[in-house]
Amino acid sequence: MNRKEYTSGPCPNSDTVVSYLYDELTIDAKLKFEDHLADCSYCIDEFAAVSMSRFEVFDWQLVEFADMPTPAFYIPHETDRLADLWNSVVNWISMTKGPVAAFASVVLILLTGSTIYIMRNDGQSTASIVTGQARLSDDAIPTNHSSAEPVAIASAVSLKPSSTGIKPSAHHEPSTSTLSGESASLKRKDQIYRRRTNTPNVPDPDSVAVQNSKARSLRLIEENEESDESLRISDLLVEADPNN
Amino acid sequence: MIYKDLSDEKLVKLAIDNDREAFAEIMRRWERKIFALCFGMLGREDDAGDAAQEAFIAAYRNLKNFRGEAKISSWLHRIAVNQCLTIKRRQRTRSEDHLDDNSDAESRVFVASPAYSPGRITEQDERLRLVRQAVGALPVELRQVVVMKEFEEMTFQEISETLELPLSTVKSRLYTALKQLKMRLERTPIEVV
Repeated sequence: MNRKEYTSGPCPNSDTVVSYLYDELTIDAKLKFEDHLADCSYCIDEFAAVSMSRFEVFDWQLVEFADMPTPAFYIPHETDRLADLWNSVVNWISMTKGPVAAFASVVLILLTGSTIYIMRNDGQSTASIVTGQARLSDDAIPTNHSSAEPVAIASAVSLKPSSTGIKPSAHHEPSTSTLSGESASLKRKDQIYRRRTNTPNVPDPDSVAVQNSKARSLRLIEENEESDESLRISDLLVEADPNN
Repeated sequence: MIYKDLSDEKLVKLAIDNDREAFAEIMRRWERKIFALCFGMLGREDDAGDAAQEAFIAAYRNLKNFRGEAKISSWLHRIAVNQCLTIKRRQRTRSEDHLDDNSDAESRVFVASPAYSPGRITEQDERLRLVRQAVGALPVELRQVVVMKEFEEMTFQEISETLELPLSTVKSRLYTALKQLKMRLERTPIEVV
């Protein structure tokens, strides 16, 4: 049957049909629609069609979903710290994409690995790897120390073994600079001895320049042993004099 | 005689000749649709059941007046609508608007009656499967309106605000969805055991 004008007015549109189906019409609009429905076979069939579909969905929803228990949802608020750390690192990397994140990751991994390595190597001692403590130990070392002080320095260092690799030792071995100073002193004393005992010295003993130089050196050394530096300067002036 | 294989017209003729089995077959074919129509109009299962019952009694009594000009479905629809309107008028005179009834939610629960035969249960399972398929085959914009209306029981205004669509668009989408569902369900008839 085609849609046409009835005594109750023109056929209502689809909005009115579904609104009536879901009971969302005003009372006046509802009465008007029902008056029309009693008179219009076309609208009756239309309404029956959407009613049937709606009922099938309604029935399906009731049978399959209404009695379905709602699953329990769990939000993991608390996780272990290691997982938190890992998640934060992953999140940070994902947020700061690119080479910066990659570089930072490499640095982090290297730091972690080296820390673990050092801790394993120093496992038997209670050595601290805190930089501040290592600095405290370093502060105990005087800047200008004589060759007589190393034992005290070593004992100061041995109180706090640090990650810098300084190991406690009962016997202090002089440094290379100390050795070279001592050998020079011995060498000079040997030259003095040779000069005094007329022991022939190394290269060309007949050379006048060498003889003069040796004489000056001997004098300088002797004067140096008396700790008179002003004389050393005057000797230099004498050395500069071509008539001497 | 196997009534199941007969057409509606044949069954009507047999029913007019006082063949009760023929009319029982007519009822069996249309009872769900008539009940759905009544449920759509009245919104309550018990009222819809009463209206459908009254509609079939009226149809049986007036079967001889059926001239065959319209389809039997349209004739039954008209009878059912008239029964529903009668019930509504009666309710209005009693000032019993079903919207004010607190037991409305409970009364809308429609489940298969325990008296249903195993064949009916199988039929229902098959129907549910078809409805599931039909709803799943709807376009997304139509399906979301159906779900919001039927599953979440939102009003048209709420759906309109949620989807940021005009009210008329929401209504027309739901109307289109229901029409498409009807076509899909009719295209695949339910195998009755």
